[in-house]
Amino acid sequence: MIKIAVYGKGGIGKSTTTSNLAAALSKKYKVMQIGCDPKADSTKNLMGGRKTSTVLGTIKEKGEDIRLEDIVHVGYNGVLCVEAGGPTPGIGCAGLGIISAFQKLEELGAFETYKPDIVLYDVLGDVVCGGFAMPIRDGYAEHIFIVTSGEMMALFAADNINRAVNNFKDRGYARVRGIVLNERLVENEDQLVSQFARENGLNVIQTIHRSKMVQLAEDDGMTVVEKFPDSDIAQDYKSLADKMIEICSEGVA
Amino acid sequence: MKFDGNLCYCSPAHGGWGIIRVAALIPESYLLFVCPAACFRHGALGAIQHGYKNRISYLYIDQEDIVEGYDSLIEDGIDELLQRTKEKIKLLFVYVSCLDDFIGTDLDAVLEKIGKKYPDIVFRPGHMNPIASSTKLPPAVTTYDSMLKALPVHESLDENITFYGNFVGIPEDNELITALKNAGKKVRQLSNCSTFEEYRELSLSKYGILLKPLARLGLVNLEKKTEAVHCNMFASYDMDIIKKSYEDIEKMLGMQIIPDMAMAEKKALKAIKNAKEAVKDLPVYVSDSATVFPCSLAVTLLKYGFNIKRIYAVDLVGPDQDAIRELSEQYPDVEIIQADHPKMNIRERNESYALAIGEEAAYLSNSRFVADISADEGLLGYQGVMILMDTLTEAVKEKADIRKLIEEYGGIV
Repeated sequence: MIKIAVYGKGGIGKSTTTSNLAAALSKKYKVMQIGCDPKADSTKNLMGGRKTSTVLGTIKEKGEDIRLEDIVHVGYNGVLCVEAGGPTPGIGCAGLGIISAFQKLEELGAFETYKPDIVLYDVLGDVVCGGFAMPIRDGYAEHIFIVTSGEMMALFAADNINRAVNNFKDRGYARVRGIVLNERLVENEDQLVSQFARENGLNVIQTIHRSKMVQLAEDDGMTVVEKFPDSDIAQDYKSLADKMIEICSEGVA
Repeated sequence: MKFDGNLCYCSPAHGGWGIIRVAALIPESYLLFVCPAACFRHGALGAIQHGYKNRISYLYIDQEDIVEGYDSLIEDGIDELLQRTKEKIKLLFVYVSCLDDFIGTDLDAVLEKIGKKYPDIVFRPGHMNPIASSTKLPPAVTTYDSMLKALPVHESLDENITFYGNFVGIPEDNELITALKNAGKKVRQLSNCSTFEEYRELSLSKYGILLKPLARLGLVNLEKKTEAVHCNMFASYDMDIIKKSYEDIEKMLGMQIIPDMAMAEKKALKAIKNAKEAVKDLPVYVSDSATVFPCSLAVTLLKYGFNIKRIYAVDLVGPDQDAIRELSEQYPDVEIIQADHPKMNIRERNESYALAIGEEAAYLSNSRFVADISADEGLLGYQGVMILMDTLTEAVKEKADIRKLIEEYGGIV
């Protein structure tokens, strides 16, 4: 089982990247995608545009006696979709939400039951408190990929995530394996992101080119890999999927 | 059946085996609590009262530490503790509070690092998180699991038996221990260990007998690493259930032990008769401070002819769900009272001419007579029935001093 966490600034396109990645990987592998954003919309485009019940929401509704079927939903091409969920806006603690959701999945034996080949964690990267660091702990993701554009705030968040991971380098935590450039058509974007990667000893493993097709597919509640499988943008995601598997299998960026 | 989840009333008799008392059962162990200064005062005072003062330290954290995270503070605190403590610590439990569940302290990673610095000491994590009490992993369960994870995986196991889940030793003259001894087998119990080395031998036994559900997770996790097997013998005072448990043990061991127990069975039956004659038709109240399965005990006692009127409980688990059905169908007049319901604070306080089994029932009913039984500890099999019955027989001979009984029994520590 390969466990990958995709981090990045809120709104940078992590969920779009992760769900397209899941869709591309699902052609060869059994994939589980776990959304770790309180908005709980990570897997929406694998589920026909539907928002599904979250782990935390289900615990709140049904108490402790919940079953895996209540929180693991089968989406496009058999991708297993899970949303951690989050607190009521304005109150509660989103970090604890992730911790509780992970504990519940572990308690219910989600990995042992479904035996996915690949697990993708889609994680918000603006905040790096204990809860948001949970997916990179020993026993969870082994590999991290950071999604960024050339925008200043996106690079700032990417740097923050990379530093958080480096803080734990003496522990058995996940390591950053590469950068994914999700184009926003900022001036000198390639150069800016490549420089950031170089300064941190990383590589830009794939550029996801700007495409209107992403929006069109999402309007129909789909990934571009599903809606426009032969498009260039779908090819970007397929290429990203291949490279990630290659990197994770070798363990070297 | 489920009780209301609401505001709780905590009676002075709400007590029993808390994490300090349980973790401190491991010889040569020490407990470090990492928490805000006001946290766990109740436990600290109780620990002093019960003589655990020299086995516990506290590392206080403040608001700034919480905001910044305090992994390094825990490491420094352990360094300081180990330098200051004169007696050699073999196992250090580091307990964090529910606060750490919120901020996500990775205690396992912190202890792995510190373990490399002190290879002669076993470090185990603990979670003092009452908010987990209503989950499938309450502190008592995770503490026991953490305790068993301190046991080594032995290369080969011997043919002996370890009891898991009990905190007070089952007496050596118990019929099961006697029968096993007669068959050339040794019984290992946590409470009989006087050194840490002896504790580490608990996992040397090929066979385990699980006496309480709280130990199940720890035992199952232990068995994943070894070839050990176990069977259950949860607290029961029903002669048929006891016999069935012994049959299960015979199957597990592949040998006969029941023929050796005829005398114990006879003594238990005689004790039931004596207790019934002594207690007569006195109303009897059963509480979950006396037994893990109060409804099951109530049904058993009703079958023996006792006049069970009430059951006081905070939670009803496992076999008690079947017992509740039996009570509602066959004994609908028996009241089941939520012991921590806020209305318990405005109950009638006049003395009730009744016999309470367990301190919680004694306090809440202000009963004249009290059978001092706590969490089924020390009771097993036919001998357990006999001790329970003898306790009932003795209890109705004189008015109980409930305050004194509660002080001795202790709040949760």
